[in-house]
Amino acid sequence: MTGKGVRVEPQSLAKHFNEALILASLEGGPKHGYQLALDIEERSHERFGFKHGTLYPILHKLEKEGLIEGAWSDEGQRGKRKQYVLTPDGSRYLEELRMSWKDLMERFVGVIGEVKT
Amino acid sequence: MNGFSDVLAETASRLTVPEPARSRILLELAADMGDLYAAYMDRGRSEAQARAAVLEHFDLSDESLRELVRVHDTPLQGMLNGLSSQARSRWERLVLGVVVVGVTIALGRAVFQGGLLASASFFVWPVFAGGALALGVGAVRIRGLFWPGTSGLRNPSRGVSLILGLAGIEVFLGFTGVWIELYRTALRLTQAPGESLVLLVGWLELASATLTLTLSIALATTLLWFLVAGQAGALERQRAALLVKQ
Repeated sequence: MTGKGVRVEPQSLAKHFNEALILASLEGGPKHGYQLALDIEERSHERFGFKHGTLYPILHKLEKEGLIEGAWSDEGQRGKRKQYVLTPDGSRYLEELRMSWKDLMERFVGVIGEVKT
Repeated sequence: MNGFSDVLAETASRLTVPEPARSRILLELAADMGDLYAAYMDRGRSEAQARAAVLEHFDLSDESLRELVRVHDTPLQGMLNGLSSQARSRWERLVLGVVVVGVTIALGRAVFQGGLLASASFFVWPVFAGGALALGVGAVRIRGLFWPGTSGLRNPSRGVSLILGLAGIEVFLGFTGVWIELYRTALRLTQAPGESLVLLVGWLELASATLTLTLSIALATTLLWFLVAGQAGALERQRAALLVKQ
């Protein structure tokens, strides 16, 4: 693993789960906060939903850590809007999260076994 | 623009985040709520359904707001949040009063005791230049913030951190000057060891004059930053309040 050497552990599942969803959504292009929530809901076929109360603290924390960057744009009569974009550090971190989640899921399925059809 | 003023006003009352982060969070919430409502309407939902869906999505619990506060708090703010708001206000006023009195006395002495300038290192001139630059930047921001027509000011906080940065640079230059003069004094000492006492006393006089002027100017610069940052924060709060009331 590169950079921060992310290791998803059972005790940090929720944190890394949410971070992975948000960063993966931003990999598809810049988005506003509400667009992130809608995109994740749509791509997971409504399996994963984000209340904005949960979303904003995570977004601001990721921004503070430099993994995403928020930019304000003045849209005239519509007023100011904030969009988030994935940074190069965020892209690397997402890749580490993918590897760590893949490793975790393989070990998890190794313990509980495959689906018996 | 925003039919969620009641929700935003209620959230604003519970969001104890320092400015300008607080105003920016509220602006972001207001914008996203409006856009999500429009998105639901475009998908064919009725006004009532769209509003209900937005309110469900934006269920900002006390825990989530506390998390937002934790993300945006500085370590000092976290410590101050342990005090009651009245105690915080009293301490802030007391500290400001002490600083103002101290700076006034120090500056007055520096200005009216002409000997200080003659005794100081030449490094004090870049410090004065820094102070003049900070005054210039501060004057431009103050004009934009306090005079009528500031509603058109695009970014009230722009340039404010530069003033604080200049205060830091002034301190750095002053201390650098003192250390360089100490080095020069040491070189002279090696050439004229018999004059050690005279040279060292000379350096002490130079160092104290330089640092008195440097710290006075840096404190004045910091006070200027405090004044400008406070007004910029107030302006951003006003804008957020306007948005909430629309």
